[in-house]
Amino acid sequence: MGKGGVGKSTSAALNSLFLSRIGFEVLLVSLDPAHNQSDIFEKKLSDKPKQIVPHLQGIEIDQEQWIKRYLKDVQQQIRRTYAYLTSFNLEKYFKVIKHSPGLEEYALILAFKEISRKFSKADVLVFDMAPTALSLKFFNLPSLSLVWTNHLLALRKEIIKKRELITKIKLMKKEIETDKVLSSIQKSIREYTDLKQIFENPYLTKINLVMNPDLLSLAESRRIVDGLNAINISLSQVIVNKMQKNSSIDHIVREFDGVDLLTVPFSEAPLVGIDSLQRFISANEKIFIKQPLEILNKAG
Amino acid sequence: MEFPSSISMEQYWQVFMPHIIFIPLKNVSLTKEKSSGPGDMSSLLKNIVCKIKDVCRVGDEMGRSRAVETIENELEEMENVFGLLVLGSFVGIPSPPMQISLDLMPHMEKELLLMMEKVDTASQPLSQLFSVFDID
Repeated sequence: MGKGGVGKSTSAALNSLFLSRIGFEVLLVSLDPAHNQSDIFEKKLSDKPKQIVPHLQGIEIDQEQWIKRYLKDVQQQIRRTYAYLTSFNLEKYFKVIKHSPGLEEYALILAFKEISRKFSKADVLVFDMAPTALSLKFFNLPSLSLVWTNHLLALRKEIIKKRELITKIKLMKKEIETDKVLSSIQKSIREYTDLKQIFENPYLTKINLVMNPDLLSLAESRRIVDGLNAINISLSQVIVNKMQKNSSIDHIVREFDGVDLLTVPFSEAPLVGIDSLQRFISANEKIFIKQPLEILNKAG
Repeated sequence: MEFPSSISMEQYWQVFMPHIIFIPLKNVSLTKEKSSGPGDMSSLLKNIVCKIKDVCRVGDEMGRSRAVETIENELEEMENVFGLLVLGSFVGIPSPPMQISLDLMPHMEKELLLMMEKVDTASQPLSQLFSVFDID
């Protein structure tokens, strides 16, 4: 994560390439709607995994496609369960709904869930995140949804209790009928809880904050850390990118006391194309080897 | 259970009477001149007992219906609140994240229709309240 233009995509590309070089099966997933990975690797990526180099595959998530697919699914379910006239003219509403706020980050969550499930055999999944606001919304979505779903669950249980009381008085017996709304809420709660646990578990999710040694970048990084702390997610590593010879990182060290710091030098040559990236990694191998211990232990 | 004590004998009788008067007795002809034996008499009695049981059952059901009317109204209100909470974005009310509404929407046809129905009476809250408490 990080402010726009600090080098999030390049850092993700370099890290993925480095991990694949030391023998990991890596899948690099671009969740940034303005995809950069195709340009960085000079290789056309799509929403299907494509081999970039041995042990490294890449995907660029088509957010709009995920929203469309999700809405189509809901529409079909409505058609199946509603009476014909109630679901009449449904397309008109769904054309508007697809522009609703909140669906953007949900599309990313759907993609995240699907990829984590489908590529569970990969050693490392590297996600190149969207700019700050969307990324924070992405990580916040399970917690926020849980607040709502828990509230709705309590209300639904009250409704069911009343309904059972009426059935009991009217028919002199307790009719046990599965409430589909209740089942759906409970299913959502399970899914959001799982996601929340994945995000909060520092052994499963490692969040790298990318920044430059300038004050603006530091200010936004501070806000990112506050946003993540509010939802109980901790940082794994801070990558200070584009370090010049005369850059000082004392203020950054003070700010992120206790978090691993990785300084990546400014590259005179543009970091575009696989060869150029590989050369940069070879020249700075001692920096990239400072990966979180759990990952390196896995490499043996 | 609360309802039997809350319904007076007089009310119960009001419920039963019309049924007792208008219930047709099947296979019983009042114009029959001759009885063909004691078997007929017992079947007539059985029939009458059956009908009285039916009347009691209908009366009981009606009594029970009346007893739960207020709870049903309360339930309807709660379902409306639930509908408004989940699908409120469609009528401009703060609502949960869109995906929660959309995930629940396929199972909420009843609430959706109820919400639309409630719109008709939304401008007369007092009259609705009076009808709930049966005030003329």
